[in-house]
Amino acid sequence: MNISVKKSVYVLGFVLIMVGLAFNPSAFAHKVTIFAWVEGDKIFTESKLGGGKKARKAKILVYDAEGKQLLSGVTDDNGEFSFKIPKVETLKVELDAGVGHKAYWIVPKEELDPSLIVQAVAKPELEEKSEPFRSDSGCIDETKILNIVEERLDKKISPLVKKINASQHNSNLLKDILGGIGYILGLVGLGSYLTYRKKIKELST
Amino acid sequence: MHISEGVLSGVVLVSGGALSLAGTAIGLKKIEFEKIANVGILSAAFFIASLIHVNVGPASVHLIMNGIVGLLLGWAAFPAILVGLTLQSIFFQFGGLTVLGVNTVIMAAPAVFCYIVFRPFILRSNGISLVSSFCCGFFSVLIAGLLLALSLVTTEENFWEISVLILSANLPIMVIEGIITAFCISFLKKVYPAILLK
Repeated sequence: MNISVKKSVYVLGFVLIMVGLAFNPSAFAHKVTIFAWVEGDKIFTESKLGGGKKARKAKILVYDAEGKQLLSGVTDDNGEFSFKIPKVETLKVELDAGVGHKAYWIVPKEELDPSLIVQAVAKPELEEKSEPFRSDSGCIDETKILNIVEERLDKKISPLVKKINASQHNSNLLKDILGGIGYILGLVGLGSYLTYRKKIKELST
Repeated sequence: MHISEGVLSGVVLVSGGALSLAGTAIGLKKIEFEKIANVGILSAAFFIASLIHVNVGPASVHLIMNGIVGLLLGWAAFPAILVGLTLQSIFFQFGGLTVLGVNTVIMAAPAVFCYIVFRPFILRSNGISLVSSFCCGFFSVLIAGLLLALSLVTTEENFWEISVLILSANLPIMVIEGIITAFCISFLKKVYPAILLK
């Protein structure tokens, strides 16, 4: 093999080794990520660093629709932080993992159920009554059924939602890599063409 | 080591943008026709390198490869890294587009600096070449860490605390990249020495 073919093979091999190393399951995007979901009157958050590690003791800030800070907190050892919904409007939950790494998750107003939040406040009053599950007529209260169903659904759905979030990180990684390399090859071609034209012009004058 | 969107103040973003534009202009002028493909290959290597993570205690850091990019490209490291960062931002959501200028300066400026300092030595004897290419890879990451801490000075509290944090977390990266750079250069010297001659 002459030198230029050898060179291409080795350089190609270098790039392929890099791709192979990068394309391993734990190579999450090097953005920090936060994921938030609503359960009843609380918002739960799960924060991760690049590489899939949980973001421990990271700052969480919650802003309302105007950008005013409503509350702040710190993630626990599992990278989780939960809080009671402070306001029924679109909220922005921001993760600050330090060293210039930030991420956020928007909780749209539609996911917040005002009736559940009101319930949380009204609960102490209801418990004072002797039979909270039965109204005067002896039938089970419809709103109570709705609340139980809501609570159970939240419990069932939240692990599914967590799974979806986790799987989204790894989707299309190969496509993204190939896409990026494609653009670079395109730029190399464009650059070569433009420089070649310039050279031809210089040579012909 | 990519700074995310919405972290830095406008002043820092604008100065980063201006510096990276200047560096890129110089870099583009210095690219010769025959070397365009090399710039593309190293830009692709840089693009992919950040996907390779190393978990260090509670933190997670990634390869940067600005050392080898600088050593082989010189000032052309600026356009190569700018393109790499733009694509990373679009495809992987690393860093961001407003903060592109600052991230470019953080990674490309040490690459060019180490090129100026260490490049003359890599064509000497094997021992000197090995040590200087290791140093190039090592110090490129180290200076990038310091520039990162410098850019965060307007938002974080203390430059020294942040520097210690960044440098201690990235120490394995510095060593790994030093080794990779040393191996690459010694390999190229044997297989394709023409790439190292101007």
